[in-house]
Amino acid sequence: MKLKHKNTIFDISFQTNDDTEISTINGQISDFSIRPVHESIYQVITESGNHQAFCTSDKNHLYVNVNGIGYVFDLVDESQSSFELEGATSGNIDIIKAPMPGNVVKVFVEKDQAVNEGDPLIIIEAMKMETTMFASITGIVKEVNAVQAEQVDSDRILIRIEKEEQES
Amino acid sequence: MLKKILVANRSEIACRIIKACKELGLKTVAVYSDADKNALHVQLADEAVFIGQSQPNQSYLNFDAIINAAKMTNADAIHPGYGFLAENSEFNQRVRDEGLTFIAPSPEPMRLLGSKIISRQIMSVADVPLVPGMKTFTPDFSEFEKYAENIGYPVLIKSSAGGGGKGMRIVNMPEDLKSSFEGAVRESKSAFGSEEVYLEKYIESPRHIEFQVAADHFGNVVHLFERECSIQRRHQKIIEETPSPALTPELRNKMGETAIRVIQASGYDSVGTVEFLFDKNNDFYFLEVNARIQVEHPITEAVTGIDLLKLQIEIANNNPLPFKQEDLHQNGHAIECRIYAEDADNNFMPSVGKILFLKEPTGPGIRYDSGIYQGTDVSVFYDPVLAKLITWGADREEARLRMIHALKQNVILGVKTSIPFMSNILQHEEFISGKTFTDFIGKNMSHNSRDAGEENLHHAISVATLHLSKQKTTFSLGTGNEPLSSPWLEIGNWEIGKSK
Repeated sequence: MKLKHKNTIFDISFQTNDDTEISTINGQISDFSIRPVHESIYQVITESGNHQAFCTSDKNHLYVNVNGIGYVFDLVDESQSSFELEGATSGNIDIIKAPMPGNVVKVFVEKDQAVNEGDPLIIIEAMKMETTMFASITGIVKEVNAVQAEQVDSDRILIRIEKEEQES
Repeated sequence: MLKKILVANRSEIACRIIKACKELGLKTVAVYSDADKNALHVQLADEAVFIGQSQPNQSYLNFDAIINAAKMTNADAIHPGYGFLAENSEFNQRVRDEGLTFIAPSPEPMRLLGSKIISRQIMSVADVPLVPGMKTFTPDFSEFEKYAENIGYPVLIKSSAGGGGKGMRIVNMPEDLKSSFEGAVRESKSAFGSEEVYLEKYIESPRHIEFQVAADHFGNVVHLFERECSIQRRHQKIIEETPSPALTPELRNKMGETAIRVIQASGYDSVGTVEFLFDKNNDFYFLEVNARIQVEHPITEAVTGIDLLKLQIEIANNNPLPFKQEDLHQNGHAIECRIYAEDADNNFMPSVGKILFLKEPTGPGIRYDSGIYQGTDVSVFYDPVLAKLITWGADREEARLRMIHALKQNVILGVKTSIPFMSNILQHEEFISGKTFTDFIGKNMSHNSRDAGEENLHHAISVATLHLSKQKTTFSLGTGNEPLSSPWLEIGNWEIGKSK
């Protein structure tokens, strides 16, 4: 199974040993084992001592806390990764989404407008903090899907920019 | 005698007030917005009234909605908590005009102390030490130049109505004075609706030390010692402690007496806080009065044994203070950490989401003032404080070590929290030795993401994979596969969508 943490992908498999599980991470067998305790509760067993661990998930992420430190992981879906890379690596499309649900404070651009890399596009406010989102490419605004004072969630595409060459 | 109190607030402080009322045998009414219909404070109160949409100005800041809720439920008093309408003297007056009790100081001292310039004038007459600078408002820029020249750079331009660092500018050189002045005026106007700014000496690397005070309606005033709140990010306190590692008994007495003078000079009649800046020469200067119950009040409760919420309600009930200054003592040491839903690795960006798993810390000397439960939605509309963790110890070291372990015990899954960041601060040698100044985080924590190490990450990722394989339902992916724009591309541990 593959999980992503920040920008690193890990490939993990398990071997069962009595009531514990020993992981192999990127081909290397771990020197610790894991015992599922109950539902979200786990125990990490190491040479130098044991740790409590907790894990839960929602539809997008896995959340873990080990030894008081929190982590968030993503499952890597191989079937989609090649499609996903297309837009990103070619850098022809820039899609702006709200990173979290928030209020649209200001929209700087309109449809068919030309923008340069680094231009401010939209300001979103969440929890009393304003954040400006900028264009990551130079191109034409193909879609604006947000108006001032509107509440937006994090799934909606707010602004889509495409490079001009794509048109020809 | 008050019988039923409407709590015009939300989150942990609303829960704290409701609990105090219950101990006093008072009925409670919660108010809530759209976003808060399932919030903890709504569950705890005897009654709950819906007051409007999620935006604060349509609910928790709406005078009429709150007063109507009080009348509808026959409440005889309103407790404003902190933030929202707590220090709004107009609302204070309005509540009283409606025949209700407002659990706060009288409107007049609240109004006077709400203006930094007027407070400076009052305190100057009462012989309270002030940061050198202007005591009157002037729109005349040449006055600012004159003052800056006289007291010497660096100087600070501040909004008279301000707070939270807004409308505030540090000026290091005469060349920058004009643009900073204009910027401060602009910001003050947009944030507080007032163009009044003034100039004072910039005190470098001070400590923030404040005194808890209590005054009744019979002229009795006491102080309940200090709290040091120097550990701040974005001009907001995140870790507080008492006693301050910097104060000697002599300095404590002197500052406490000054705090009482401040309260007497302004005619203040409730619990409140007098804030001071404390510089490297052990000189202290009056900053402002917070005319409300403070976020960090529990550490004072821990070392004095006095319940400040109940005291505040008893004062509003027209009871005299039940103790004198000489009855009050500090016992041991207490520390508070504010648990925020935010990402310390990403400029303290708020983190929204659902609390999917919660384990509250427990044990001797541990207090957890919480506004959340497992299942709470952390909303975009409000300050992202989730809870406050308070530890008490016989001395500072015991309180500190207890806090480190309690933070580790406090497991919150589903949103990012300030817990690991605060744990790193508590283990920093400058904190351990009590060298706590308001620039502590900027100076010592710039590489704050002290990595827990590859080993811990391997533990975590193994647990995650095991958990995933145990899930019977298939793990469905988010819809977003598109690249995201900066600055969200790298949002700490969070991966929004599956961007590269």
